[in-house]
Amino acid sequence: MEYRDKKYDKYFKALKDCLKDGGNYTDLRKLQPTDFGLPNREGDRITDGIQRQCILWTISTEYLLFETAYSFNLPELREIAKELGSPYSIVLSAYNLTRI
Amino acid sequence: MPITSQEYKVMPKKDISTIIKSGTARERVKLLAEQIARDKFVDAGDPILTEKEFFHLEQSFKSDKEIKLYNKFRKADSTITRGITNLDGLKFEILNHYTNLRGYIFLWDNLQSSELLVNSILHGIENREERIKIAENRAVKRSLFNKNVVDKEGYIEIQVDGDKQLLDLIKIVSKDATKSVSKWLGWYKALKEYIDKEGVKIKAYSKVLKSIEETVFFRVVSMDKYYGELDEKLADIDEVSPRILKLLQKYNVCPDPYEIEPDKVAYNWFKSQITGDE
Repeated sequence: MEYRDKKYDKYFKALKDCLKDGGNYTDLRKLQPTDFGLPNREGDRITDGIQRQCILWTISTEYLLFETAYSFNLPELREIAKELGSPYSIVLSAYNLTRI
Repeated sequence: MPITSQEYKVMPKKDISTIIKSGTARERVKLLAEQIARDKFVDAGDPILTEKEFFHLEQSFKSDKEIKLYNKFRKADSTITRGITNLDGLKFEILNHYTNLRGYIFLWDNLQSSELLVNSILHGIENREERIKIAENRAVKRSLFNKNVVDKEGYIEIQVDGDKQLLDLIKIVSKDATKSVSKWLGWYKALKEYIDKEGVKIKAYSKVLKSIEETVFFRVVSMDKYYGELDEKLADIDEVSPRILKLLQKYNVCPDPYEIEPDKVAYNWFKSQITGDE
């Protein structure tokens, strides 16, 4: 039986590779956690959705949004959202992951 | 071995006296040149000769060969001074562009921060309809250089890249700055070539030129983003996505003198009108 962390690693890698290959937000949404042996959510709240959380972290690392000290030197979130083809709120949530 | 201005600075007065009394014509010309340069430009350094010494030195060229050397120096000195004065004048034009550009970039940067701040607050309102209502009621629709709209999710978008808006203005000023820098580089190249050709290496003039050059090459703003680059501390991260680098191109509005080619027309004009080479 595969360890849970390993499944997460695989899912994250797939999301990261998707962006690396030029994929957009819709392509990320197509990658389901269940395909990697993960449940859809862990908890009751909407924000507990594994797919959403993993996508947010993937966006955060891809666009360096986690770098709180240098955020003034990064492109605007709206530009990132346009490039990614995602709602602005998604990128804003990814930005907030390391700030709230 | 040429005597540097730094050496003059620390050179004991008696050594200067020795050059005045028994130095070769070339040494005397160099000493005189150093003093003349220091007289003309504040940045060149403190005087090294007294009035009496200067007069004595100026009268010390007796033979035809010495007078010829001295006259050659005076001609070159006059040309270099004219060249430096022109470069210094153009520097102020460049500084003016840089100041305008800096101001507009700071405004743009501030608008970006404002958008992020207001949307971070709006993000706390989970109900989309309510968010739209609040945003639409509060947003000022139009400012001098930007337009503010509420997007379909209820967040404020500060638009600066429409017709006659801030980004347009920034691009115009950036273009003007680039043009002036290119012209300056053309003139600078022509003057450097003239100095090399004439073999008039006066340290005080090099110092003045260096000071002008540093001003021209000074960064308009410190943020790498406005040069279309990732902050060097972020660039150390192992795998930087090409997507982010591509996005940063939108912000590449600062002229980088290291990347700008000298203007050929300006170069030729300088050679014909200032250094009289062609």
